[in-house]
Amino acid sequence: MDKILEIKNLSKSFGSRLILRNVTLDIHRGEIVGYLGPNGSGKTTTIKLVLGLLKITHGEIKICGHDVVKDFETAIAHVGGIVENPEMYPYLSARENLRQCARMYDTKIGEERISEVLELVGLSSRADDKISKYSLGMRQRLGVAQAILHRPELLVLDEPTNGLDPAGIKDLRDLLKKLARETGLAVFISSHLLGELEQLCDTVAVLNHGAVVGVRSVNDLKKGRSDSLSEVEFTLSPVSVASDILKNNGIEATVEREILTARLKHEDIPSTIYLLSLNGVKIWSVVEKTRSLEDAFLEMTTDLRADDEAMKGASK
Amino acid sequence: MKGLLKNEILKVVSQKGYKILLVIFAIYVILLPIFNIIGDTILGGEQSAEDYYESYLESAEFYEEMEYALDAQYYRDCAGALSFFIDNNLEDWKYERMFNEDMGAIFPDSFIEESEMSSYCDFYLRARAFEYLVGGKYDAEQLYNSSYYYYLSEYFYSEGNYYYYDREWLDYAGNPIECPHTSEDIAKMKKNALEELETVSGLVISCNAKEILNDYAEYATGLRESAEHNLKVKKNGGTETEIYIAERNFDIYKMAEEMFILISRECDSLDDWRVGFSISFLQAYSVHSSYTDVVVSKEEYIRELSYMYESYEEYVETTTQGIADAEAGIKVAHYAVMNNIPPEGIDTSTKQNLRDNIISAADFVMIFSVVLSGTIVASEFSSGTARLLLIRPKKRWKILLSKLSCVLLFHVTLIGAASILLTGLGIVFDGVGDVFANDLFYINQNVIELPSIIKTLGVITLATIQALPIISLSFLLSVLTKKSVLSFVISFVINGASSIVQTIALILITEAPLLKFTILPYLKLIDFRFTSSDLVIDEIAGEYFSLDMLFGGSLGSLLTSQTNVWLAIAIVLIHSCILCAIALQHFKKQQI
Repeated sequence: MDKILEIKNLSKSFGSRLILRNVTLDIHRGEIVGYLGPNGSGKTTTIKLVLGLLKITHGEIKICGHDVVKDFETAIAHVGGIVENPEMYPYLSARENLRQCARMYDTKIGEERISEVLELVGLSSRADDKISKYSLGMRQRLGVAQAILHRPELLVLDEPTNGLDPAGIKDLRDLLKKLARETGLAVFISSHLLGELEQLCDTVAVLNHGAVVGVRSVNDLKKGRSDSLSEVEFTLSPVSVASDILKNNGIEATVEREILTARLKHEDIPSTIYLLSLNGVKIWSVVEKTRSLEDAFLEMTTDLRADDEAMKGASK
Repeated sequence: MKGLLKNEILKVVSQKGYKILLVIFAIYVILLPIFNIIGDTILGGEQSAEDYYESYLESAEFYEEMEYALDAQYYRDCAGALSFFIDNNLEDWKYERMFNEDMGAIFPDSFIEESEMSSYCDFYLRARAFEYLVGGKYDAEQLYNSSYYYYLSEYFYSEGNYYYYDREWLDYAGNPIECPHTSEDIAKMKKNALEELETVSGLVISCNAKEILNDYAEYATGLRESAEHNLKVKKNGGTETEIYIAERNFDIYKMAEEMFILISRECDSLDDWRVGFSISFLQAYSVHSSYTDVVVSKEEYIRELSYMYESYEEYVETTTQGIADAEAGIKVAHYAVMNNIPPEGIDTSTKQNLRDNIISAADFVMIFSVVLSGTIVASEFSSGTARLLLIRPKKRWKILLSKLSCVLLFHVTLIGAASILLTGLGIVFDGVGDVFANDLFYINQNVIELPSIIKTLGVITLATIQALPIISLSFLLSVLTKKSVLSFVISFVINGASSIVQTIALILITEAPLLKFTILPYLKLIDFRFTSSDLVIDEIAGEYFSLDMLFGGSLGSLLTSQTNVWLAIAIVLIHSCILCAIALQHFKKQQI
């Protein structure tokens, strides 16, 4: 798969304060990558570095193979972006704002494309209103419109769902998925709404204290590591017999309110059901408890915090 | 770049604040010619001679309290002179006051002290001339209506300077010194002067216009013959310098003869502009002859003028410039009379009104341009749009240059549009007048007649370029601080102080010549429109009826004695470019 964005050993410091540490990340064509991290972890800084708004202290960023520092104009021509709030000129209409953006590209972007993009983000009916009259949600949608206007290969979005209502969030999610699927657009999206990324992204990079602590597929994150045990809840009877059977077979099991919870590997679930049935246990339901992205995120960042504290303690 | 510029222009014209400013500007431009009419008819007579008389006395009292005896005496003399105009119901005080205030506005008090009484003695002595003439044989009203009254007073001024010897003598530092003349000398000079004045006055009052003019033609012929004879004598045994001076004097007298013969032949009334105009000619002639005499005579300098100058060399330099200015005036005057080119009246020239209005409009445009340049970058940061603007495939210097180009485009377009509008409105309200009459230019010691549009374009150019440093400063501050209001307010404050800074720089420039390579003497570039010689845009030809131009008594001549308009324009442009280059450099590295 083509690499659209390559971030290698990226570091950024303001004076003596190190904001980003050796961030390395690749995004491929058609891939939607979420960028997760607590407040102040360096998400917006990374995005500003990708878009050339900040100067790189160390490392390199390439967009479609073009270095952002050495070949800024070519690299940035492949990117559309929103950084923080998508502020546009309030005294112009949405259409006029998009015309302003269109004139900044060497390739001709005509009125048809502008209308098409406005239609895509659902602003056609208000296209000629001054955007000072727009709600925050409408401005966000216009922000997305200006970002995709020139048909970029990479979309960089910093907290794009801010101010959107649930329907708006869903529309945006559907739009991004469609663009990624149909046009091969790669999307690099930061958000503090973990659930949002869970539904949108293929991959999530977790950032903590300026360092990427993990890059995982959403499915892996949710399930945890493949060799790890997940909790499986059984509704069955008799509970005490079932508990004994599992314990005799070396499986950890607890009972609470007539529900038996066993800690199993995902691939061991069918054989466990078979074992219980064979021993006359009646099974009404089996539920494997998957981890939410939030659990995974907290787990990863907590691990790192613990590591940090350990390091601090050692250095003392 | 074209797309970027279009973006910037559209942003400006779409913003309500700028739209309001442009509407106010349009109203201001439309009202300017109307203000002229109102000003001419109402404001011109707003303050009476009595008002000025009171203000002179108040100033005199103020300076007495401050123990500035020289200044106090100056204002007492002004009041005394003005009382004469009031008593005799003469309107001429307006011109006198204007002339006087021009001098006072240009030179600070210290300068007046240093140049001693040069600025007020003429005012004082002209008044005394009237007093003498009226108190003697002649009727004030008759004199005033003769159209020659001013000439008489001027004549008295040149001759009557000898009365000045009775006054306290001061050196250039303002310290009292002993009078260098004996009382017998003074009495003799006074007697001669009075006889001269009696002759001329009698001639003016007793004769009709034709007789006077014929008399002058004969007088001029006599001068020319005398000069011709003198030249022959000098050529047969004089020094090189003496021959040079004799040649120049002969040329001048020959021109005088030609002019007066023409006037005496063609003019039937003293009201003919050419008759009045001969006064200017004689003024210039007077300066020329007095300067040429003194320059070659160090003894004369030591005897007569050493108290006013620090050295003979300084005086030679001053008088050399004076001769050049006087000769320019004489040549222009001669050309105008011989070719029947009427002068621009000080108050009635539609051409001059137009140029003044363009300068006023340019001042307003400067306000617009400084606000725009202070806002055009900073507003992108304050509104957050810079984050979207700078993630486009355009180099930052192109983005910034498009913004600067937008400001300059508005600046030039608005001044151009205002100039066209003012020309049209001027014709509607004031009539065509002399708007399309040719101007006289004095270039390389030759008088040339060119269409008036050239000088008007010169005024427009100076007014346009003058604002560039302050626009660039506002632009730079906008990039550095990212704060719109702060940027243009600081720029306006600096601009407000520019007149004072320029005057101080011009005074210091003689002591520190390197100052001419800084921007300080050129902050008000438009002052170059007053310049007298060496320049293509040469005001002396346009306003040759104004006597102070012939004497070079303006800030313009102070400018050109030390530098020239081309150096000024170059330095203004270089400074503006430096400010913009700093802005560009900072913007390229700016992190957002």
